[in-house]
Amino acid sequence: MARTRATGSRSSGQTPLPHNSSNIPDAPPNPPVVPPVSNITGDNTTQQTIVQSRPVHEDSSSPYYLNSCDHPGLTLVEIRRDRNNGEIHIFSDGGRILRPLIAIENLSKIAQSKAGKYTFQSLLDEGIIELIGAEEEEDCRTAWGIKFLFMEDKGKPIEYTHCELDMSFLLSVSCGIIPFANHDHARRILYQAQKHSQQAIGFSTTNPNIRVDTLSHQLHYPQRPLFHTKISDCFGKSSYALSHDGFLSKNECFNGQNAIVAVNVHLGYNQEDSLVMNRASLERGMFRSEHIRSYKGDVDNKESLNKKGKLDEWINFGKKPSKIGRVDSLDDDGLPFVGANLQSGDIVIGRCAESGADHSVKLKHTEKGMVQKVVLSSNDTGKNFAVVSLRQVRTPILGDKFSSMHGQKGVLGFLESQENFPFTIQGIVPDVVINPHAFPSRQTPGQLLEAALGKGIALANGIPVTHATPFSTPSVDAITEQLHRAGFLRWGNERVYNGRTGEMIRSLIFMGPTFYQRLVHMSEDKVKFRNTGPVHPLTRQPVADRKRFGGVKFGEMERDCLLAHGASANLHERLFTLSDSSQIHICQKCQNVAYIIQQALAGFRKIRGPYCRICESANEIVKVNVPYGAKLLCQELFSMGITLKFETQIC
Amino acid sequence: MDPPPPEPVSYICGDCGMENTLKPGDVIQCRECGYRILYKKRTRRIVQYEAR
Repeated sequence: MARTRATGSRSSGQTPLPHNSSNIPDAPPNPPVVPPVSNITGDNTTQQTIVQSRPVHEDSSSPYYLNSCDHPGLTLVEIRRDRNNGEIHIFSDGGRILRPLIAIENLSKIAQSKAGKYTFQSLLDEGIIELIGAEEEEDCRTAWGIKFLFMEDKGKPIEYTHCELDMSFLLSVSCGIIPFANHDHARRILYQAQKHSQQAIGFSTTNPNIRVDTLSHQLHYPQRPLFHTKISDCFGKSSYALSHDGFLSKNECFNGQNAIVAVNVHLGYNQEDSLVMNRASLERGMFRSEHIRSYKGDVDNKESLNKKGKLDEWINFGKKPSKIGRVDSLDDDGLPFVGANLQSGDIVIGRCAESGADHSVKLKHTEKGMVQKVVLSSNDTGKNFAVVSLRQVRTPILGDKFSSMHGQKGVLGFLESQENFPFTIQGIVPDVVINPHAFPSRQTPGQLLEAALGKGIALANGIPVTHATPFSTPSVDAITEQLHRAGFLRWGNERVYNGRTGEMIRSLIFMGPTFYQRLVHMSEDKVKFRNTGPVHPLTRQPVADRKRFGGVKFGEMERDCLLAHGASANLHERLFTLSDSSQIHICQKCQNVAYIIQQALAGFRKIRGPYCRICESANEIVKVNVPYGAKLLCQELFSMGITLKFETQIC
Repeated sequence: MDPPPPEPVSYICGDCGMENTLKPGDVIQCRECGYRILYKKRTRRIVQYEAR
């Protein structure tokens, strides 16, 4: 039995939302519609969806009210009977995932006369589309698409309870926006959907000016891809003003730019998944990005000082000549002026105590930038805060990472001048050149289809085929036909001329606009170098961290390599001379370690030197070279009551 | 060239836009509206950037 409990503005005369009674064999096929008044006692085995207190919903402008903060109080309750375990599951968590499906039993409500007048909201209200959650989904039999409703299984029609709005709605957002995803290997789709989409630099926020993130990235000229998919279009419906400019959807889920990509061996500079990029394109701003890092400092203010009352060690913001770094860019308030250029090692936030002790915040040797903004604030516990944001604008440099939407990542291997690229009859020169070896084993023809479709869209005569929704992608014929109509070779190839010699290149080259993403892994953040530097105080071996000028680990596998090669001198140098070389003394008589002690001799004379406490002599002691780590092990074992004996030989 | 004389530092309220000055130890708060987020004004010094 269905009922609607409605509060707020939706009180009466409301059609109850549909339930999926067909999931429960003993439920009546067509339950009577009960006015949503007092009748609360009902058959509690029925499954139902209850909509509570939604504000007036005539605003069909925003079908995206679910889980959104501008419609608080909206909860959809799902109730399911689990016959096997004799349980009833009620799931009402706010913010849980619900997805719209077509309810087959209400499909007949669609009227021809209303064609074209339906909105998402009116379909929801009539129960033609319903929102299904995790519990109800258990009992649903969902068709992948409309055409599956008419399919038969051994002569009998399959009894579906629901139908997917579009087949690509099976996929997540990050996966459903991949063009031609159904043409790619699943592994590559997973790379894009789970890894690269997370790492792509884009336009992550619309309020960067009032935010102070510890680290944030922004792409300078974000673009929308040429193709469309159903899911990306859903984020930019014309009724959803925030993501639609009245003409086209803005597609905020894309982070990247459309680059003209050629598939070519560019003098071998794009071997092993590297890319060749056009320097002129980069100088025009392609893949330029901004990186903002914020530094925070807090001090006590007078309010809290009055309570504590120790003024002598009071730390405050201020500019004083500091021993630890440059303070040239600081104003008298201890904070840099907006626009200052701070280098690594400079002071970002000047703080000092009345006694003169310095508590400034200094930039690490890897950090620098221009001051973007300085924000001050205070809280109720008597603290004053200051946040300084530093901005860095980066153009792509060798070693930066990029990826297409098909799990084809690569690093920038060479910056070529524009004039050295092959050019087409139209004078088109690629922005990116990718090596053809990236395709056969990876099985991502989706990228090539995207490029071919993109070229057709960009230069189409008339209305182009723009959709590339997974599972309903345009056919190869449609793509090739579109290219042909635009005056290109059907397969997307181009006749090109060598940029260096001007001669015609005998082979054709495949070229087309492809959506590329700039990923956060940039070589500037990874460069590491050291000749001598800090060592770990316990082991006396070089430290690891890049921030502390650490070294690169020469690990066990690397050691095994040198052993296999018999490169003993190299091994000795790497693991001993350049690491933790040290010397200890061994008593040859008892083979124990002899430590350096101070012995008192007759006549107040003292002598300092190695002495074996076991043999009580200093006669047969030799000095040996031993890694400090071995010496440490020896001492640690000794502390547990285990002595190590060293057999020594002259070599 | 002599360094420019230190100019008084002023801050702009994040709410009402009023210009504020602060002394060491003051609670950071707008004098006009009591809002607790202040932004430092951009410098009047000449700054030079490298456009690359």
